Amino acid sequence: MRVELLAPCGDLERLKVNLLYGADAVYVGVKDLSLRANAVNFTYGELEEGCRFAHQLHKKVYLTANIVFHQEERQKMEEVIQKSVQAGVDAFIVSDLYLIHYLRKNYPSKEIHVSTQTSITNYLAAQFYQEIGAKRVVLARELSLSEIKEIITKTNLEVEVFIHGAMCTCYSGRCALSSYVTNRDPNRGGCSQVCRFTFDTLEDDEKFTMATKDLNLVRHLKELIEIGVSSFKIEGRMRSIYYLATVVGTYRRVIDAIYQNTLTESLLSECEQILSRVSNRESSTQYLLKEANELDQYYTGREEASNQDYLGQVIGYDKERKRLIIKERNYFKVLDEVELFTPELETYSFQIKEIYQEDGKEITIARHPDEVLMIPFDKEVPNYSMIRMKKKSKEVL
Amino acid sequence: MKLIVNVNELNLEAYLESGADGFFLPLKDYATDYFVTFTKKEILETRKKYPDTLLYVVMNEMIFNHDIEDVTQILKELDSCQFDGVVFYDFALYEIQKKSHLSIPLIYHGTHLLTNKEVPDFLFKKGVSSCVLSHEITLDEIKEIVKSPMPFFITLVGLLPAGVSRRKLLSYFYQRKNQEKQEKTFLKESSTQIPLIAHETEKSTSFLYGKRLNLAAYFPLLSKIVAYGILRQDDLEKEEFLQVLSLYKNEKDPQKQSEKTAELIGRNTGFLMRKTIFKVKK
Repeated sequence: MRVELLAPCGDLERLKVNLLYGADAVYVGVKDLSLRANAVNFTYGELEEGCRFAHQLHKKVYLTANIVFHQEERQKMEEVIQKSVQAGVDAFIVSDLYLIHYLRKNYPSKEIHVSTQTSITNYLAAQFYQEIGAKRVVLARELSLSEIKEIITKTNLEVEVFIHGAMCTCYSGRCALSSYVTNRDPNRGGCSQVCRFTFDTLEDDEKFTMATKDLNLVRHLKELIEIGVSSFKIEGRMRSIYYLATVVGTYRRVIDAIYQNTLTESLLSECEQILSRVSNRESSTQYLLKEANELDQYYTGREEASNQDYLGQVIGYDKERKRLIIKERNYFKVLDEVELFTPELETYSFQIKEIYQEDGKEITIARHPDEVLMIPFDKEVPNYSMIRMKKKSKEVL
Repeated sequence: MKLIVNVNELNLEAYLESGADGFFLPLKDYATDYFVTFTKKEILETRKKYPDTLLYVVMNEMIFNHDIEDVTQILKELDSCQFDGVVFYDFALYEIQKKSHLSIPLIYHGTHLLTNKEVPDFLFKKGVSSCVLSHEITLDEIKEIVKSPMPFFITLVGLLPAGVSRRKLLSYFYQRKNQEKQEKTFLKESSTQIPLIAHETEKSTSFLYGKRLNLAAYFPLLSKIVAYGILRQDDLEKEEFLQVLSLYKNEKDPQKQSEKTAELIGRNTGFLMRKTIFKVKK
């Protein structure tokens, strides 16, 4: 059984992008209740369309219903489950003990995946969830390779681990900093990321910070496959489609290379470079190989670099004039060196020679996000292909 | 309502005299969110010294594979010494109790996760004896949850747990400053000046909300609907804490009880009358 690549989706477009770029399954939230209350999330109609799209590709959709619900949300929670079952979801990611019991009793054919909100850190806790109906556990992000291995060995559960994305400072589910500092309930999707704030101490002017770097396990997928991990999870339901396409596509390449026995240092280096360019924070392996330490966090509070590599998304192809039709995302201009990457995981490097507006007028600089533009390119590529900056033109000239 | 106190020493006479009905004893290496913990030996000796007092051992730290053998042994010893319960977070303890056929009562302290009636209903059927209510719920929510058949614990006084990390955050902070690590550091969020206290042990760093909870204003009602009230000493001086305890136990005039305790420890009622929000935009 090949490991599953599981990707996050904040909306239907992201769902399609993830699946086209190589995710085997996606996890989504519905508008009513999910731990990313401020993501766009899905209507039930969109969820149904997303499930249909995924199933046509023989892929899966999991619904995250992992809020720690309060009494007043109980009925809504049950409605969410019923409507999501009707929409065709394949599994539910939950943390509330009652919901696990409720799903097992009322929808026995649906898989139950226990959310990382429960912070499972040992095999006995995993066995507990297995006994009450879980098919899969999403382990806490605080575990080492050997700890993960022991949990897999001592249970018959499918084990899902996070491989990429932002980290919480505290154990998931065991943090209410957001409630106390901003009155926003993190366990119902309102997390305000207080762990990325700065704090004064009574001692001196030095600020106390605890913001973690991101997780990146691209170099360790082979070991994780070898110990029997069932699913690799990418964090980030609020991430952009460019980020998701890049990250999912990159991990797809590495996973495929592992199974084809073609993984090389050169490929890993290239993938690392791509992942680092798309991220807005530095990354590390966090707890996988050693206890996380002082190098795995920042000391200056929130650290996020803006990323303007993403230039545009392909939305069509003019076969007659051999031009890519793109929707612009960031500023670019004639003579820029760019890369075009596709859902088939092909990458093309070229220099932009000409840029045309929709009405055919030639321009030299694209400076209006969302504007539809055309650039000459000999080969037709699928929609959702994307263009990113390779080198800035001033570096080329 | 029985008053269960968490204190910083094991000479319990003064607390019993001031009205404590029982004690939460945090076990070293296996309890988080407490400034003072006690070794297994100290706790076992306390049981011998106070055979008729309600004694609950707090083991609410995250459990890792390598802890399981030790935790199993500890639970067996606590079981044989007839403690009144073990306060747990990690369901590994539930599994150990079941697999080892132990009869020691289990008290689930899900910290932020006990926010509806269905979870205690479910746990009660699974054999869990009681639960500690989450601190981030309202009085109306408490009224609903306590309809569950099991008895509940509620914190009345104390610094409330706001987060636990496996990271040694104070070690990193002081190491970077080239200063000796403090076990406890007072923090204020830079823009709002909301206070937190960070506390590091060998296993974790916990954050406590810096404004002490005092539910005396609602004690007359809570004492009728919740079985056990928890009073945490935390960093209060002993004499001050004893006064608070005595007021909770002995002051019959609710207004005086509320005012006098407020003079000592403030009047923060937490989320009892204040809902948290979780959607900030449509």
